Amino acid sequence: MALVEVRNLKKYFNTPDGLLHAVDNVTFSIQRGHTVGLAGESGCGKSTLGRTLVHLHESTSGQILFDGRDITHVNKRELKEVRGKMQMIFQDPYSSLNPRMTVEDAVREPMVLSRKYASAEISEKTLELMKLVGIDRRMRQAYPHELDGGRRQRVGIARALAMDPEFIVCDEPVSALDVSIQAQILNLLQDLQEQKKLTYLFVTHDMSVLRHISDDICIMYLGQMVEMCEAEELFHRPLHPYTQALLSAIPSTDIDHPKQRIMLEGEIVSPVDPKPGCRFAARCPYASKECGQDQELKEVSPGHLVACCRLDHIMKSQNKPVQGE
Amino acid sequence: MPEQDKILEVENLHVEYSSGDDVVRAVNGVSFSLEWGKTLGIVGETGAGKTTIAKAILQILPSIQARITEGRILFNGEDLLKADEKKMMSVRGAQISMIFQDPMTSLNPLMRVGRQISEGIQLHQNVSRKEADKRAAQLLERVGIPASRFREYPLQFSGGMKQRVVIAIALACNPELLIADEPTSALDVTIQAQVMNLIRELQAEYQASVVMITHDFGIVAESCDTVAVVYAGQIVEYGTKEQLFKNPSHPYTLGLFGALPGIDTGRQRLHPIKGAPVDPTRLPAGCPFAARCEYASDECRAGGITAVDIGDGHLCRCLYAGKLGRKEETDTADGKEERKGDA
Amino acid sequence: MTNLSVTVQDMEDQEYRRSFKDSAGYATLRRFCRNRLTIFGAVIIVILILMAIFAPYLSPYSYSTPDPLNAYETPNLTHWFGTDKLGRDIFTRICYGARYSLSLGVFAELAGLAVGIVLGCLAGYFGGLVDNLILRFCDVLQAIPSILLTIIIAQVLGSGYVPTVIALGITGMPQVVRLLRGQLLSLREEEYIDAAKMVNSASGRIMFKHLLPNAIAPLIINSSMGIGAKIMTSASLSYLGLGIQEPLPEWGAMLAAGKEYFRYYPHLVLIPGLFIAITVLAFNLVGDGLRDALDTKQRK
Repeated sequence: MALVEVRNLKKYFNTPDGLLHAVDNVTFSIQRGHTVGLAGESGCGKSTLGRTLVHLHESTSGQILFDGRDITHVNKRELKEVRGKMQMIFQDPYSSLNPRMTVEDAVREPMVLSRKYASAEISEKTLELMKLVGIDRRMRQAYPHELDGGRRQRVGIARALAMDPEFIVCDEPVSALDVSIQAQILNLLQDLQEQKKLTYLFVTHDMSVLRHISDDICIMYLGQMVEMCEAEELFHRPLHPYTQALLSAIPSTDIDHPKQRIMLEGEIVSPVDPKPGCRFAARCPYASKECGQDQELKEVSPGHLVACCRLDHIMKSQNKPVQGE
Repeated sequence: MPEQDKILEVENLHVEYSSGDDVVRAVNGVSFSLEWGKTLGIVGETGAGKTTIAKAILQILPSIQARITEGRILFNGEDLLKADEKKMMSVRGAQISMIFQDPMTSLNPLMRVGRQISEGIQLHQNVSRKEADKRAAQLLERVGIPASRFREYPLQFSGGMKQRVVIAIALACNPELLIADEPTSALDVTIQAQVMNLIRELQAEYQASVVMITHDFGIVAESCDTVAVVYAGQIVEYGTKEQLFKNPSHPYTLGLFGALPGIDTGRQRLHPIKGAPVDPTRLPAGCPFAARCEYASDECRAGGITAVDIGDGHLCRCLYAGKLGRKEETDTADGKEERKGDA
Repeated sequence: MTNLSVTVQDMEDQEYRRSFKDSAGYATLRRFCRNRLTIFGAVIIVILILMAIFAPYLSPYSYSTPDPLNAYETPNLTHWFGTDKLGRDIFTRICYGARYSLSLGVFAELAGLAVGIVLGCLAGYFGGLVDNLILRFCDVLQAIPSILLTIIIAQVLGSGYVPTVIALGITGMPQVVRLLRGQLLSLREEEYIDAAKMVNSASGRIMFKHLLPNAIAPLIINSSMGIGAKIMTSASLSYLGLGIQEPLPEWGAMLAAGKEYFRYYPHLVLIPGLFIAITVLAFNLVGDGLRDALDTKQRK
């Protein structure tokens, strides 16, 4: 059974310009022990979706199920319980730690607040967690500004683990880090997943990172899911024109085989009071009249869902079979 | 006299910043050259000194803290470090121009975008305001923005559009050398592709030489001819794109390739470089990378390491230059060991 | 951007113990001491405080007993700053006056801070209606020229020490509210606040553990400057006859008493005037130094 299930989730924000459809009718699920990668460009609502799942935003409508239980609307006591199981790792290692709290304080805080442990136990567990994420115990008295980005991110991970969660939303955890440090953190996250049987929702704009960490991938565009499938399938057989463009736009380090690039016109806009119809149509090279109606995710082959009505036409023009293999 | 087929030659450049009691040695003996019409990529991580090199060429380093302690920067054979400010004024923007990383902050929010382009033309080419405006409108069209938006303000433009305007400003006076400092890292990947395409097209059209500063090997692979890998203010490896990508030789370059999640490879463990970047206020006597290097020996820490030519101008600043190669995919256990070691 | 990892390397070198020398406070102090002008300001403030404390021992004269035989003396060896129209030693009166001026400034600032922090926290944390009400209240207070407002309050409460403190505190309060509210609003967007929510921190804990400690630096800077301004206003009030009154030796009151004789005996006005100016300058210099020392942006 899926650990996290999201049904028709919507999150709208009131802005001076109108209603911002940050997350619009999103349905997906995350299997226990899996990593689901959530990708898209800035402003597509991927972070909002992650934050809505862990109740940092209140959802506008829809349903969130955790372990089969509806947690869409919870009271304060239930929220505490929910947060014991769902945690979050934040994007910016420079703003995710309180500058006036030491490493030790930051890692202890969740355990102190949970009132589940005696104080000796907390100290012991703090050191254990620090060891687990690879921060030396000598640094327990250090303040965040004395640490580099990678170590700060490790503290953030330790803090999330202190709640003993089953599910962690990783909100762009490596995008602020340099390549060499990024790899350390990605490996750490994978090790922790194995050891603690964690389930991740990994939000990022970096498709290469996603490929390394995800089992399944969801692609978002302007608040909606446009394509969902297993990671390997997505990279080998991207079907939605947006996914195709996104993948082709990534600069490759393979200098012998330059990529065929699909150049998109225009830029992503913010989904304030969006018109009905496919939101990608304005930039889509295959757009036609049919795209004026709302698109639904359809299963085109087992486990591969795409929201595009022009799929047949696209496949034909690219000489690909519509059905798998 | 230096040969004139090189538009830019930097020799043994040293730059220091002093902040309070600390002296930050940001650039330590960097030498490279760039041929006419070619593109040089400077790759490195945050704080490696990439931007400092660019600013030193244009001499726009913050004059209070920064000091160029040594070196020569030859632009068309002329040493820019000996040029006076008046001379630099005529070079900056006209012969050498720069594209900055953040398009949000490199435009004046209170000035119409068209005027921001035409201002430079008017200033450097001694033409009337009307003529300058006309050329600016053509440039706008050229970078893919309708000339009808000439009178709009930066606020009305999206990030990618702003970067196009910045590019138009940079190209306004037909510069011979364009320095692009992470021109696309603030942009989304589909926009990044558009902007990089535009830069390449315009480079060909204007026959400009480009110094491309980036942290992304993908961008280097797609748009550079030669590459310099920078670590702690030193070029640790330097060569043509083919030399560097096919035969990466410095342990740091090797490490970066190992740590890079590739879009074309499947789900597998990465091989991170252990530890964190070196503190530029406390550079060690020997190789600055030694503390993170898996091949480091006592000799590496002792110092006196120079760049070695390992074939056809492929330089590598390592005692074991040419003796190390791309490591075969080893067992996944060593990643874990590295992590423990890192703590 | 660069000296961050200095301590990290220290830590790698040896067992890391946190002593005062490693604390953020020590680093701030070191930055504070680097600026000579700041030190100059701080020294002046210390001297003024010492003058106020040891006033009875610094001169043999009384600040209040008239000595008509020696009236209007210009500065000389026996009366360093001369004497006033009643023959009272001006140096003595300046020393005693420092007690009033400094304490007025400090207490008025503290009063403003106390009320301002409470209101600012309420506004910044709850937002919405509470925020709106508090801000409009501050708008009203700030729409009235501060000296006029102080005059009105002083009129209602009468003249004297405590009413002056209250009046000055109230006029200074809106600025504290706005500053703190702005700080809290921007800090609320920081990810560590979300992180605190994720580990079930109660709102009180978020306020006092995560928000306030990080918002305090600008308040300290503002207060240092504020004390100077308050000393100035309290002198103006006394000058206008609303603050502390003769025969108490408040500097503003001394100015007022001397103004009629300015043409013949300029020292009656110049000396208290000079002390007001120097004191305000000193507090402003210290405020500037604190800004440089506490500014976290520079440290990145």
